[in-house]
Order: sequence, then C-alpha cells, then structure tokens
Amino acid sequence: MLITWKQLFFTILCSVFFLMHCTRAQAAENTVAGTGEEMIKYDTTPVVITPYPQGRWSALRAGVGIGTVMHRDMGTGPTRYFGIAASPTFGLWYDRPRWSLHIDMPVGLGILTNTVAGGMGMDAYDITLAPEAKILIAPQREWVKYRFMVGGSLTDQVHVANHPNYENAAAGFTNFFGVNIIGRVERTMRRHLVHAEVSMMPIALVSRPGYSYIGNPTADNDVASSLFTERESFSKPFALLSTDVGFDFRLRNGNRINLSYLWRYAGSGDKCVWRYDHAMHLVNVDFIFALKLKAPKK
Amino acid sequence: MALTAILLSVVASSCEKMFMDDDMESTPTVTFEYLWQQIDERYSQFDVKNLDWQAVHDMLAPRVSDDMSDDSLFVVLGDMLNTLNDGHVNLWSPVDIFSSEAIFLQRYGNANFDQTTVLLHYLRHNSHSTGGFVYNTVGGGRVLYIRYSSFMNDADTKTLHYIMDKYKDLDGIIFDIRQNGGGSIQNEWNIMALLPSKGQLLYRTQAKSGPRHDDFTPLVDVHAPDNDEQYSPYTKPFVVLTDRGCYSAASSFSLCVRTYDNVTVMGDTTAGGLAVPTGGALPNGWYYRFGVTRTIAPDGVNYEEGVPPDQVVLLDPAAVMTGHDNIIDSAITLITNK
Repeated sequence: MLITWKQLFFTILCSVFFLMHCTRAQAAENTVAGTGEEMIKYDTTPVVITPYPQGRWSALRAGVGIGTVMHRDMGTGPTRYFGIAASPTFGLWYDRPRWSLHIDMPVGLGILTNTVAGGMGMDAYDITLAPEAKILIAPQREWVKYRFMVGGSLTDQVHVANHPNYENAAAGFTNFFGVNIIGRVERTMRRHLVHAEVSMMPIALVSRPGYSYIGNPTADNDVASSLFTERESFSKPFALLSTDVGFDFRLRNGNRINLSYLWRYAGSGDKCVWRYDHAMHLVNVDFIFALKLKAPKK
Repeated sequence: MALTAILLSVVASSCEKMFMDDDMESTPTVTFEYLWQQIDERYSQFDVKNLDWQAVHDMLAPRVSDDMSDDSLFVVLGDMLNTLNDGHVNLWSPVDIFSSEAIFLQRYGNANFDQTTVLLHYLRHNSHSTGGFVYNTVGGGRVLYIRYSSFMNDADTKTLHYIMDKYKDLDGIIFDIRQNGGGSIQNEWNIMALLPSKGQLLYRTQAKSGPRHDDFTPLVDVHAPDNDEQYSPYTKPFVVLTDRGCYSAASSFSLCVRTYDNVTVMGDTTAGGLAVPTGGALPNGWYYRFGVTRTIAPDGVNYEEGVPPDQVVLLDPAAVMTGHDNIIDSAITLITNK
C-alpha cells in the first residue's frame, strides 16, 4: 500500500481537528455574546487585524534550532542512531497581505550514537540540508484573529550520514525531492501571532545507495563515484512530513522573534533495497528582520 | 488553538514511531541469523572460496541460544566468519575482535621479509624518510631501494617524484611492499601516475547487485591512469617485491603494476584481498565488515586468493644468517644486468 492506514488516519484526523477547532473559534468571534445570533459585519470599522504592515515588506530570517535527530539506515544496520542536533537556518521572506513567499535554507548538524543497549556506542555524524521555496495563499480577503493559508513548496532534502566504523559504507547519501502541500493556521494575539503548519509531500523522488550500499571505489579513483554510483531512484508517496507550531513576537520596530517547535520526518518505506528513516525534533528561535523596500515614486 | 498546539506537539514528539517498524531484536539467535544472511546475500567471493555457506549455517546454528553469553556468541560468530579465510572479514564486539586465522598464518608463517636484515644491511643508519617512503641506495650505489610498509602511509605523487628525480641517474628502483597490509586505493593511483602509462587495462571490477551469489553489476574496465603532466614518467627498471603479507591495496597494486612494461614483480604470491569491504552493525550493536566487490585480472582470473609474482624468489634463511636478503639481491641483479 502506498501509505499505511495508520499514516492516513493520523493525517486526516489532525487536518479535521484543525479545521473544526478553528472554524468554531471563528464562528464564536462572529456571534454576539450571549445571544447566539450571528453578527453581520457590515460596519465601517472592520475589526481586521493583520500582523504584517500593508505595503511591500520583506524579511530576512536568521535562526537556530536545537533538538534531537534520529535515523536508521538498513544498509548499515538494523538499529537506530539517536542524538542531538543543531540547525541554523537562513531565509528570505516576502510577505503580502494575502500571500507570502518564503525561501529558507536550514542546515541540520547531528551527532548520534547507536541506540542498542550493550552495543559499542558507535558514533555517527550527519548533515541535513533542506532548502525550500514556499508559497502560501490566504483565501480570506479579511480576517479576524484567525487566518487560514494553503500553499506548497519545492523542497530538496539532502541527508549525509557518516559512520566512521563502517569503512567504505561510512558515508550514506540520501535525497528527497518534491513538492509539498501545506496547510497553515494563524491566530493573532494582540500584535503577535500563533501559527500551526502541516506539510506533506504527496510524491517524492528519492535517491538512495544501491545494493552493495557503497559505490565501487575500485572502478576509478574518484571519491565521488563511491557515493554517487550504484544508486537507486524511486518515487515514494508521503515520504516527507513536517509540522511546525510556534509563536511570533512582533516587536514595535517591525522585526519579529519566532519561537517554534518543528518536527520533520523522511522515510523511504519499503520502496528500496535498504529502508531509510530520519526524523528531527527542533525547538527553533528565529529572528525575522523586516527589510523596508523603497516606496514607489509618486 | 492552544489545545491544538499542545496536541500537535505531544503527538509530533513521537510521530516517527508510527511510521517506523520496530528495531530488530538483539538476541543471539537473531544476531546470528542476521550476520549469516548479510554475508549470504552481500559477500562477493563465494565463487573462489569453494564453500557451502548453507552448510556452515546448519553446522553452527545448533550452538546458538538466546541465553548464551556474549563471549560464547562471539566464538560462534567467529567460527562462522573464519570459514571464509578472508582478511577483509572482521567482527568487532565489546568482548573481542575477530580476524581471519588463515590470513594471519599466511602473513606471519610464510614471511619472506626479515626486518632486521633490511634495516641493518640495506636501509642502514643513513637511510632517508620522505613522506611515507624510507629509502637508500643499494647494490654499490647503483640501485635505489624504497621501503613502503603500508598503503595507509601517504604516497603523494609529488613526494615520490622528488625521490625518483633525486636518483634518476641510478640504474633502477626496488619498491619493497612486503608485509604491506594495504590501505588507501588512492595511494596506488598516486604511485602509478609516475610509471609510463599506455592506458592499458589494469583489471575489471564489479559489485554485488542482488542477494544471489552471482548477482553482480556489469564489469567495469579500469585502465592505467594517465601520467601526471607535471612529471616525466619513470622508465627505468622498477622491481616490486611482494610476499604473503601483502594484502588488500598491496595486492591490488601488485596486480596493476604487472601491466607496466618496465615493472617486474618479484617474491612470493600475495595474500589476496582484492575485494572492497563494506561495514555494518548487527542487531546487538556489534559491527562487522566483508568484501562486496570482485576484481578480475586481464587474463580473466579472480586473484582474490593471491596475486602471483612475475618471478618467484623466496627468502633464504641461510642468506639472512649472513646479513643478506636474497630477494633484494635478486632484484639488484635483475636491474643491473638490464
């Protein structure tokens, strides 16, 4: 089956819960207190709260995440590696009242150890690059406290794991490429913002080491051939999943500080010779610097 | 909304467990079966080992039980790996490290190299060390003797060229790699870059591509590297000394240099080990390695069990007693008589 019933159920459950909760909250906002009657918003002073100033603003994002990382690559062994991760992130954002374009480059750096009790405590190191270009659109023209956004992003997640004890299988290179579908909910709290976002990749193009796991270094003296030959490529539904829940502090000078919890999972399932799973849990602190563009000449 | 965020946070903290299978059990029986199967499906040298791998399993499996100690399990797994007689097959555990008995006996039981004789009478006190090479003149100052003890030692092309150029007026070079256990393949290429290349075929290579013993990728031809444009190739006689202590990259080097016109390989057959090893972990956290590639010489032979020399010369203990290494002396004679 392309996706397990468990995965599909969980995804639908979260999505429905999101929509129901936010819809109820929105309805409550539109209801006159105590009467249950819906308030019709025709007044000339709309209670429209946009956290972003009108006009042509862009923002520079610089942040870091600290957390945990786990991966298991059946090509090198049947047990998981678990450890700590740090993830600096840089990005350039372009936010308009009803749509936004975010280009981000997070880099995850992990130090892991074999999780098997009584094992040899072997270390592994990994690097995860996940550049992403994301577009989100808000269907609502006006919004009160809650805003829904939908969109997508183009992502290429590259993961390199190094297990020094495994000689020529030390370095494993795995790549996920594809388009994500994204749903996002934002809620204003005075000037600030709470957000929750779910992202999933309906179809990913995955590239993994092949059967012998390593390349064939005796074929030539090019080190790259050890990593990039003897590989297999395949498509995998829902190979990448991520959630992001956070709080956005908007400072009076227009800059923002974002605190968020990010979970990201990448898995090959059983579509390839050596099954691969990778997950990160990160607590991120991002500084979002508003960049004032020149106002158009009158 | 807060409840939503909290719920998501809690669920997401264990989300990947929903998508992942449980890890394998780390019991001795599971570990034994896992290692046996990994070798059965990924080991590349069953064609030359003349071994019934299933019979090995059937013989050893009754000795495995889930209540056995790590020491006992190590012994059983070691007995299994020892049947392969392969120096690239190893097992590392908290209690011990396994390596092949047969390769050990070949290296130390058939040594054609006496270090004391070489140090005292050939390298001598005034030997030179440059990079990974130790060298001095021999044969009345007419031949350069270079000792290269491990392919783990840096064999930079520039460094070797410096040495060759310094002694370019001598009659030839003896390149001694006896008891060289191998190392980096890159060092082989660095050395061959200074030998006169015709782009000749060195060997063909392939890697395991499936679980059957004969599942391999197509053969890939590997040709002699082009000479480094910065340096003139060394065209005078170049004699490589080998013995049963030559393994892995040293064996591979011996296989490659036989194809050069000015090179003669002298000594004893190497211990083989042409396969490239890959490593991995067992369910109980121990880790292993074994070869997953196959190298075929231009004559169509898989010399995994040892690369024969062009001229067989074995060390004469009587000569050693008089302070002579008759293999080096034979190489000197070969060079000076050309």
